Amino acid sequence: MPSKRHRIDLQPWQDPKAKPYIHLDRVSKEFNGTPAIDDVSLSIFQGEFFSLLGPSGCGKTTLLRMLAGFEKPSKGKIYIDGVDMTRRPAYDRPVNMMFQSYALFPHMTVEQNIAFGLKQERISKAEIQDRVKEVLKLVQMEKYNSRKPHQLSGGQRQRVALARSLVKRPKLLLLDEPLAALDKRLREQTQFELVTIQEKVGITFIMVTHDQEEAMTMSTRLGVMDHGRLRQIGTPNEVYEYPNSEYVADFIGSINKFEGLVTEVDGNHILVDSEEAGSTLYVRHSAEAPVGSHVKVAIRPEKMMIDHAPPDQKRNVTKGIVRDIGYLGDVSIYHVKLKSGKIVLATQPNLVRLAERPVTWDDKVFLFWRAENSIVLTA
Amino acid sequence: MQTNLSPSLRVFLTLGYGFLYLPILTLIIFSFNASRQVTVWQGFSTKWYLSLFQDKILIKSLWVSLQVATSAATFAIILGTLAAIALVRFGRFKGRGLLGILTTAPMIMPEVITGLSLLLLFVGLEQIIGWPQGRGILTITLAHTTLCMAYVTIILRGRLADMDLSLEEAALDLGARPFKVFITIVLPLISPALISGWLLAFALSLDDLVIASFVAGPGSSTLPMVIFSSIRFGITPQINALATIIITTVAMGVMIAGWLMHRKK
Repeated sequence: MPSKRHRIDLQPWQDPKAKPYIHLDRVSKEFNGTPAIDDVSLSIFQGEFFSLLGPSGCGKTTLLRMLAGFEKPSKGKIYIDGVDMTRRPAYDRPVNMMFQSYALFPHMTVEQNIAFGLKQERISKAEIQDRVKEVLKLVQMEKYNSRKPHQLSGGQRQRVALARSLVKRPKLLLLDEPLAALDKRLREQTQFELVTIQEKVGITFIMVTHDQEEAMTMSTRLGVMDHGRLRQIGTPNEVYEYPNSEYVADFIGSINKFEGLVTEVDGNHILVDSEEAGSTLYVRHSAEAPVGSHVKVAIRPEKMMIDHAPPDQKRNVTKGIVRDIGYLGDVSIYHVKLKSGKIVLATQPNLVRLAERPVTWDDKVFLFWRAENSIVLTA
Repeated sequence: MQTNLSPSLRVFLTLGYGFLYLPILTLIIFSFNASRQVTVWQGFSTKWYLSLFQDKILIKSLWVSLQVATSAATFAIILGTLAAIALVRFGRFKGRGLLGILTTAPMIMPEVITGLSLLLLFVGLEQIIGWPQGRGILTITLAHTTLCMAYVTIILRGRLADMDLSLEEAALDLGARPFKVFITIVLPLISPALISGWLLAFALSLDDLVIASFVAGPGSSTLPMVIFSSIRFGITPQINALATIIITTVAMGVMIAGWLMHRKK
């Protein structure tokens, strides 16, 4: 079950006739000759919570700043709600941004900070007051309206920054690492609050983050970036289960990879002979992988099963010795060394207490998985 | 005040403060000296304060100095702020390095050279375009603006560079045009630097003797020029009285400024 299907009832990205709300058309950006964004096209639909995910320096923040109007693309066009925004200055865009540093004006109270954006429009004083009050209520900060930013905690500042960027009811809200400054517990709690608020206001969100867990839990779809390129766009589920490249597979979660030679193509499955795995692998694969080609077969650690007894399957089985066990409380990660010397990770839920655990250090174990749980990586 | 200072530290502290403030204290005490001789105490009197206000030359020069210092500090703040913004916020434009060097040059250059070159410039300009006509308060103000601008630029460059750029971006993002961003966000945030820059410029101008001597004209002698020339005929305790008034005013100004800043926080 895709994790966020309930949030957007329809999946507009699957409907070829759906009109994108935000559209980047072959956007490139160079800084002094070095490409920061390399030919990125992206369509985002109304009401989405889209995340741009990637390591630092991959260009995700540059992309966000181009949407906000702080950077101009070297090539390509940016459309918001059908209007070409490429050359529009930041103050003239129906877009607001929540900054990583929150960028609250230190010389203004919470109320003045939030009202600042409304004061730039022709809005009556009474309406400004009402809207500030309304948005303060939304982020549960009514009591702090007359405080200065330096009198607030990190979490409270984050809420004020969110309120300030929401109060103008933008068509698009940009969030630059919105939770990076919070501690872990607060971050987890805020993730859900942010999603709830987004559903309530119905504004399209684009978030930049380097935290894959954050991107997975919060987004309707996410885009994985690397060196200024978008490597894969999809729902969290698609990107995790069907990464289109080794880069994406490695970046999101951990994954075991076996190199091998395709020996047989059987309908939509292929047989891969892998010395590294020490067995024959049977994988479902629809793309081009002719007999004799080298491929990589990948299996997520939690899809690996581990047991002392041999399973009753011939393919997708290998054996090794448990070298290390990482105990995380809810799950344990087994590091199993194969005959080829390769270390394979297998994650198992701790169904029983630690002392009664059946598999332990230096045990000889079998590792096996179902054919539909592995994938072929060609890129 | 901490009470657990070691004896040796107390001695050093006393010596240090003594070195700094004893001369000023002596000056204040001797401004109330009844004797005409500056170094001999002959009883308490306030007559020098009275005669000070009757000394037309001294009072006039004080007036000139205050006029020059006020306008030079104000011009320096305006130009220095613009220069600092150009240097910090406009990226790597052509000639940025040169501008940086030129704005700070008067600070490093010997005052004699600054004074002489400005004098030559003013004379040359007068011959070519007929402006500035002669030398006087205007030329001193222009010269002091050049000097003070260097210091103001340095102070404001530091403040602007420290300021989080995303504050300005946030204001733009919320719909404020660049000029409004400057008025509502940048200006309030750099105001402490503006105030201290203005005060420093004011003090520098009030203090300057060398540059003013080059570019002053008849009837536009500044206070330091008058005091300095009067030394040649012996110092009168009037000068002490004047210095006491200036010191008291400055000390009160600093105290009020400090109190205001403290209360704001």
